Amino acid sequence: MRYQSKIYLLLIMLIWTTSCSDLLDLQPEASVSDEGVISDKKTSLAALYGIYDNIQNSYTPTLTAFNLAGDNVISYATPTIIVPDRNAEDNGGAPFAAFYVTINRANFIIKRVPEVVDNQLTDAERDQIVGEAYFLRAFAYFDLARFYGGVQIVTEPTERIDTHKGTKRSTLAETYNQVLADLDKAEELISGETDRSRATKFAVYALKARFFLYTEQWEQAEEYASKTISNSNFSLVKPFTTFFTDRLSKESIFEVVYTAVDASTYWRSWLSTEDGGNQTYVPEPSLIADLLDPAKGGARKNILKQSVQEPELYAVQLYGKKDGTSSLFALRIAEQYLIRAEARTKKSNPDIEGAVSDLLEVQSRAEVTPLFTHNAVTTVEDVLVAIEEERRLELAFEGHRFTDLIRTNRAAEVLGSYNPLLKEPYQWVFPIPASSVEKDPDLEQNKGY
Amino acid sequence: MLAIRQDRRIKLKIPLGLIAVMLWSIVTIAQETTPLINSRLDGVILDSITKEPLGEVTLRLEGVTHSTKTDDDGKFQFITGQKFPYTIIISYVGYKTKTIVANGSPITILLERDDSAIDEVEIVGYTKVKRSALTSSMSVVKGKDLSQAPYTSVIEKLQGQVPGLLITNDSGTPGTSVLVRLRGTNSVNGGNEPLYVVDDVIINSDNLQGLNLGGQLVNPLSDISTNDIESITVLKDANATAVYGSRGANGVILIKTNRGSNRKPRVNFGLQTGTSKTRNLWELVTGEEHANLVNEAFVNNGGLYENRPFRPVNESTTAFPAWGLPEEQETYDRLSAIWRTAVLQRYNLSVSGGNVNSNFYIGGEYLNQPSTVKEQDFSRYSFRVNLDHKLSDRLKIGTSNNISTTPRKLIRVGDGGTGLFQAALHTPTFYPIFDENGQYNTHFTFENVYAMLENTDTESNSIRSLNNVFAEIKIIPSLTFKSSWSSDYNIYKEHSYFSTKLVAGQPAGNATYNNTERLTLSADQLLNYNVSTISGDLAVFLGNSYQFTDKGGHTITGSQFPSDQHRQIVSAGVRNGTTTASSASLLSFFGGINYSYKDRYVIDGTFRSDGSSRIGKDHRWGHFPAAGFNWRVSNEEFFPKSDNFSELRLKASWGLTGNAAVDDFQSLGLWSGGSNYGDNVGIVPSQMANADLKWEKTRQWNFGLTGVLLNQRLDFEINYYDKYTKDLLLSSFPVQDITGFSSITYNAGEISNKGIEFIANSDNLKSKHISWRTTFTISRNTNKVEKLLQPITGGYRQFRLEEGHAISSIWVHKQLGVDPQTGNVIYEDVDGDGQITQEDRQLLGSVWPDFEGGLRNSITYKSFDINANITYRWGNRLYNYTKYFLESGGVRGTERAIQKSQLNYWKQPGDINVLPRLSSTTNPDGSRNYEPASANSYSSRFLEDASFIRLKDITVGYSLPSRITRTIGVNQAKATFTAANLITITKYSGPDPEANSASDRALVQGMDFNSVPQPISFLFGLNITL
Repeated sequence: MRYQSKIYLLLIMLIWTTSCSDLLDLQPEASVSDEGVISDKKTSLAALYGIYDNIQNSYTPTLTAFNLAGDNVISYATPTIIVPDRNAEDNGGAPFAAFYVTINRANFIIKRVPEVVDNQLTDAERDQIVGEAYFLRAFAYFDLARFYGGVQIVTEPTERIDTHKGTKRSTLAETYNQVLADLDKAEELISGETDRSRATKFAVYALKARFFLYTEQWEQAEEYASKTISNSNFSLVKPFTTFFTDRLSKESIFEVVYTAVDASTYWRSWLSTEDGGNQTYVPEPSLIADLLDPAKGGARKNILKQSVQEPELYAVQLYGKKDGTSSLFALRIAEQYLIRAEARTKKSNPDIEGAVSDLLEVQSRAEVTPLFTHNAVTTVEDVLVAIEEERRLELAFEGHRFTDLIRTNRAAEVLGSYNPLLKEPYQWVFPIPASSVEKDPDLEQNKGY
Repeated sequence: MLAIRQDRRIKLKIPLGLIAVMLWSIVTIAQETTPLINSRLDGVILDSITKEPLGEVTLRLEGVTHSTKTDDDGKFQFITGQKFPYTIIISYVGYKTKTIVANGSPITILLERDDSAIDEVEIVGYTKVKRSALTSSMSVVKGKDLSQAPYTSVIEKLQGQVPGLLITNDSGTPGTSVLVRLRGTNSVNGGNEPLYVVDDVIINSDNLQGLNLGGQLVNPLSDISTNDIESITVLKDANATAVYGSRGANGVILIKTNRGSNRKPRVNFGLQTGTSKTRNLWELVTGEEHANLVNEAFVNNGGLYENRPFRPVNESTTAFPAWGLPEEQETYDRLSAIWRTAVLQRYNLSVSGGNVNSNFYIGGEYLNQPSTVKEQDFSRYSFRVNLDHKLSDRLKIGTSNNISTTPRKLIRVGDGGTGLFQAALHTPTFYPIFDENGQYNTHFTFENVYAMLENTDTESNSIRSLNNVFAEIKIIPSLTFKSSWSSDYNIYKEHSYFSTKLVAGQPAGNATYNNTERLTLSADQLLNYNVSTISGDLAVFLGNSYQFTDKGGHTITGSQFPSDQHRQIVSAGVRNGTTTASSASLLSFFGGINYSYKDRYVIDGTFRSDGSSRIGKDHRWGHFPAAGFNWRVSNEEFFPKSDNFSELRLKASWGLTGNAAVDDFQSLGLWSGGSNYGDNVGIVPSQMANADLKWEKTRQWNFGLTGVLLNQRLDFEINYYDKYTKDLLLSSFPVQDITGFSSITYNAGEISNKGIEFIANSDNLKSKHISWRTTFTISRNTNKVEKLLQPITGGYRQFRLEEGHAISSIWVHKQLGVDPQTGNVIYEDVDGDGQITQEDRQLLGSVWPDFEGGLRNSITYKSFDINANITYRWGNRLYNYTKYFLESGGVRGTERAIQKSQLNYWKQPGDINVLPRLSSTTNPDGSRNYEPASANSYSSRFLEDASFIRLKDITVGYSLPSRITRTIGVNQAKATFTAANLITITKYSGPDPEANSASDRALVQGMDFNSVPQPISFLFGLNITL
């Protein structure tokens, strides 16, 4: 019996060992392996929506950081700070990594979708998908440049940890060149015109118009703004509040949308505690006064809601749908009018008449009384001041104010009056988050921080 | 139930042949023969001093395998085929082994106590070794020596008792996480918890919690009752743990539960009840003081006096709301609203017994332990059955089973706007609780504390089943084979509903329901070979183990409820759901050899190979060798025989252990779904590939010395160890942002831990009526990050991992003082550029103590006994993040409360020993006196020394004398009175120096943010054995 036992024991060990050769090769169930994940029309589109998903995440902090940096919006918790200064530890919440998430997802599409073999995917559809990826990459690099100046440029998807090792920062001009190159590609490839929640031909035109405004190429800015303005699918909607109480209205050129299931919580930051919000961000008192002034704000006063308990307090209703379906308004037609007004004023051969007519379009929609009037003594400067003021009120909570003052070289005067540190040019770009600099030896911090 | 899914590419292949073979073997071996009776010996065994009968004593006939045990009255009966006279060997745990020659019945045998217990047999990994032959460092704590303090898990009850084992209660809430570090921190993300093995079942000790409770985590070890514990063995050095291979790097804690024995059934009933109360709370300023501080800070920050926040209500300006003059402010107390006196109840009942062939233990427990914080409650219902049966002299089978359910009520305590402490502690005291209409007044950042207490609805339940069956076959007397099959099945359910009365419930109610399940199956096969010769003993073992874990769950959230009466997600207008699924497997082969020569020299070695599915394909197999040596110097000829120095042993060991406790599938490049845009389905790259992912490996040396002195009244052990961890696993190793990923699981560095441990047991008094025993432990560990690809700051920015410093070091500006002239803060300008910037931040200490340990005193006098446990820690630091917010100089305005200590601030030139002037603007050197709400640079003034000495618990017991118990028909009856956390001596300014409130973030240990302090408890207990 002893021998029997021994034999069986050996057998047990043997059976056991042979049955476990592949016990360690497990595959995940919740995710899919990298190789071949973009393989057909369906997965190409899904990867594209994956970029938009990140825009949902990144555009919210973009708006917040730009809004707080200017003099339109302040933190309720620190009412004495109208215009904050920044340091590397506390860069005002400006996103950095989130842009590269967009860029990497776009890079995957730009590289892999052209290689997809699928009869269901027509050339036009393929071009549309790749074109949208180019647009979204341009959108990301443009905002990166607006926040930080020249940044690191990557155009290849990250497939290994060392894919982008050694990438140094580019100059602002190089970064802008990348934006333009991507927008050109997008213009060439995109044919869609109707879905305002995605990149259309007109979204490309509108972003290009903004790009030319920032790079002071006035003729092109005017040309590209006109492309959308002249299209009958876009118009200034009335009353003013329609563009944010509705969804994907004719006002919108590119709107970042949410649904009740895919909801945003941004409303909490803006609504008052009476309405269930946290009133984290509130309008600056003088902006409130201007919005309430019929000669300045007109119907735009309705973007505010007065608090019952604290009558001095007004909450912004722009993102105020409590089911989380408020959109973010990335590009809308009112901005295009104001871009064109500014371009017409500033181009080498100013068109004051045209500029004022654009300005009046925006003012009349907002039911401003009396409207801006011009006559023989109106100077270019008067018009520019009016445009700046109009942008401040019309686009008050859409993240334009800070960069408007920077690009028109008015930051020292306006922002510096609230916070002397803002007279220092180094404060006009944001510091790259300290944690991002720490983990990338090739990423140099902006000077002064 | 969580079934093994059929579509998995790999399936659990349980070889049917194996089971068949085993069953057949059992049947074959189970045949017995009837012995011949030649003599009968009756007797009784008594303690040599107390003359109390001793039960459970083993009597063995010399030369043959026949043995028996005494019953509870110390009586035994020996029926044997041998004729008188013959030699019997009597052995009993805690007593000296005695050999006598029996020549007629009946006899009375007196056993002498042996407190040094050097010949006690210890379980080391897969073998049993006499304590005197140990080459490794380990500690054993008996179940009866566990603290009586009201802790829900066994690990908390070990605090201070095991040198080198650092235990911190993260929170005073029962059933929440405990920070456990054995011999320092080896790893960042590879897991730092020791491996817990309960009755041969390797159990999961990471929790399945899905809800965010503000940094508070539930403790999965609370699923196991502390009443059923017989002993706990802590294996510390690599020689002891290497046989656990890839999971042994952080030490191994073996928990043995009670089993029955050969005696008539014994019923044990215990109850414990008592109250807990929290003290040492924060003291906040009055409404008026708050207003004055805020107004002063406002003006100092450049605000206009007429716009100050606390100005007459009717003075309307374009600035912000006027709150009224400071002297008009009321003071509202919220903090006392959240506390209560908590009443604990625990009942346990067990029956154990058996006969020569079978024995059983059945135990049940009910525990209800509310937290001193309202709306938090822990209960446990647990049930245990342990059975053993001898089918024959050769074949033994057994099973251990534990099933428990632990319902909890929970509330979000710490971080985040919706936390209870934010509502109760951080809401400014001037802020009215009710508005003009008598409704709850909701602060703009925090919940209303009363609304929260009335409307919180968060509950969880952990249902856990631990099961093991085994068979042990003696193939030949020296060779045994043990086959052990185990499962650990855990379901964790949680749900929360935030009503519309809460900020978190906006706009129309929010509910979450989580259900997570985990099943771990393991199979262990083990061969043990033992031979004894005149010159030495040889033990060899060989084994194989396979473990498979399947984890999955789902989360459903609902919002837009019709009303607060409808709380189930089925009523929600918007419903969202998601699922998770993951699995891992580990396959191991191991073996070891132990040779002891003439009871003087012991040499042993083990080797284990582990293959893990978690590790990159090319590095999948890890190999873990270890070796040790023990020299019993006192058995040498040259060692003088003396009662004053009766025992001296030296030992040394070396070994490698591994760690792969990272998440599953970290080596693969992955895409995942669920990243939708509107109604469109999106997929995104979610994980960067790292095919080079390797095992984290720790090398450890251990040198030890054990001595027994003064007629066995003093014994001590001292150990020095040196650990070095390579290929440090970081699950969140930051990668350049331009990759589009934030982190990767990466082998990124090296860490060392060096330390020394000392334990001494002293019998100060030892006589018939009185005994006094003292146990003292002290240990020191030095932790250092030896290599790291780059410094890493994680979770909270004041914690940093950097080469040359301990893990979780605190990274702040060093405050030198306050300028008496300007009132501005002075920070050390490290780089000397005249500006205070990031470059001037320094690593100034960590939560890891320089020294720590415990002191235990046990005194018995006649029927009374007293046990007192003191724990102490020296040189550990905490970052008092609560104070960072509460001592913010009024610059946070109406956002945050202010604590009383803030009032001592700089007011005029010449003020010294004060907090800085009230302002948050940038000083000329770039520093800031106080941080505005969004800033993130930290001052060392919130970095505090949290050294402490704590009287952890003191228990006074009275046992009814045996003459009384006999007359009332019980075996034992004992009443105890326990006081826990009675006295704490510390300089720390927060409520509890043991706080650790962000234990969910690997790099952040030593943060105190709204931690629930440990309460003081008074408990009465009763224990009756029939």
